[in-house]
Order: sequence, then structure tokens, then C-alpha cells
Amino acid sequence: MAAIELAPGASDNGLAVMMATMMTQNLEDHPERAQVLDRLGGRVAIVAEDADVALTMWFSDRKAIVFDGIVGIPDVTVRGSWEVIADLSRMESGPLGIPDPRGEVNRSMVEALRHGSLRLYGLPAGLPLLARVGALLAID
Amino acid sequence: MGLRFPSAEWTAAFADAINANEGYAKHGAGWTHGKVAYVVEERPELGIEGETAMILDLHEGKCRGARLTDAETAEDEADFVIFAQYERWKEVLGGEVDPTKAMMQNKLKLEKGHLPTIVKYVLASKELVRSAEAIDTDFPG
Repeated sequence: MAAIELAPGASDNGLAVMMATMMTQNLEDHPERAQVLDRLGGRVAIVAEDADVALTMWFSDRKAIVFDGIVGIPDVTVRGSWEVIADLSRMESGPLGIPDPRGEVNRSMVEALRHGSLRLYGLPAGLPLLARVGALLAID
Repeated sequence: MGLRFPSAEWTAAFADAINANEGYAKHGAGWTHGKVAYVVEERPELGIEGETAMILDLHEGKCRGARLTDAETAEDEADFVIFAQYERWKEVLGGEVDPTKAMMQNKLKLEKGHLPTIVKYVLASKELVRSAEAIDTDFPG
């Protein structure tokens, strides 16, 4: 069974397709990231408010299922403009795998948080989950 | 009167517009990942017979060539294939909708290619379609 699945009905959700494809191709490119997926548990919702699109990623049993819309009660919810959501995968990692504060994209994320165009719910409890999902989605 | 979209003439003008776009030259400078095809769904009532494709030979911030062909050829030759209905291309190439937003909304679909690479070059993708705004385009329908 594939480690990343699209739930029935999610194939019409472009953001869901993008996230599932990103995780799948990243795992092909970086097989070591499967260890990150293996340790993940919980639900992460992403809402691109000005694109009218939302998804939920459910991590359980060493796999991820991507749903259209908000499904269940998310442990972490990321809400923001589509441009900020699109940049989530472009965040720059530092030497320890945590976001590098000097990175151009990371600095724009901090600005987005400051101005409310990016909002995170479920922290600090959900921070480890969010960090691991970020590692799965990162393009570098 | 503008150039009809899609057509061989429009595709050639698109290549020229890409090469005149300093923003694309900057953000696409690192692109060595192959050809990109834009595929338009068939719309016989608008004169678009069969799925029509524009293959762009992109390399290091320049377009080395572009041609109009069919979707099957594009699938064989291009490293990245992006598909959309005619109306969606009209919105994106007309500058009404950003290509990444359109992809999130399932208006543009990546049918072939490595999405992480596309995301890495998201600014180049934006400049690529922005190049089309410089063309005097006749969108039928």
C-alpha cells in the first residue's frame, strides 16, 4: 500500500493533490524521510483562505491520507493566504533541521505571522507534529 | 488584431516574450530541468481541434524554442506537462489568476513532472506566464 494516499473525493482538490504529490515525490527523492513519516501521528489541516480550498492530512500507521476539506478535529491548523501556503514547502532549513531564521522565505513567513496573513492553531502542543510535516514537505 | 490563442504564431510570440522578460531571466536562471508543455483541452466550437500543446524548450532563463503540437507529442517530449481547459488558460495567461493559485484550485493540473522542482521555481513559473501579458492576444470565445 502506498505511504501517501488521496482520500476519495480529494482528487478534485488541487491543493490536496499538490500536497500528496509533494510528499510522495519527496519520499522518492529522500527515502530517509520515511523515518519521519513513520513517527507521525495526528491531523494537520491547511486552509488557503483566498483560494477557497482546504485539506486535512491524517498521519497514522506509517502512512498519510489527504482529505478534501476539514475532516475530524485537527491537532494543528494552518490558515493563510494562498501565497503563504504555497511557500510552506520552500522554507529554508538550518543545520539542525529547524527553520533557518536568515532564510528569505522564512523571514517572509515571520512577517506573515506578524501581520495575520498566516495563522497557526494548536501550538505549542502541535509544534513537533508541524515540524515533522514541514520536513516531509520541504523541497530541499 | 491580435494573435489567436492557441496558434503557432502565438507560440512563437510567447517564446519571444519569454526571452524579453528580465524577471524570467532572473528567476529561471537555474532551470536546467527540461521542456515544459502547456496543454489546452479541445474545444471544437472555438476552433481548437483536439488537445493542443505548446512545448517550451526552457534552459537557464531563456526559451531556446517553442512549437505548437498535440498533447500526445507533448507527453512524449516534455519533462513537465501542465493541462487546463481553454478558459483556465485564458485566465492564467491573461494575468487574471496566478498559476500556483490556479493549481491549488485544480484549474491547472500537473500531468507529468516533478512537483518539488516546480515549487522550487515558483517565481519563474509566475514570470513565465506573465510573459504572455506582453502579447496582443486574441482569445476566441
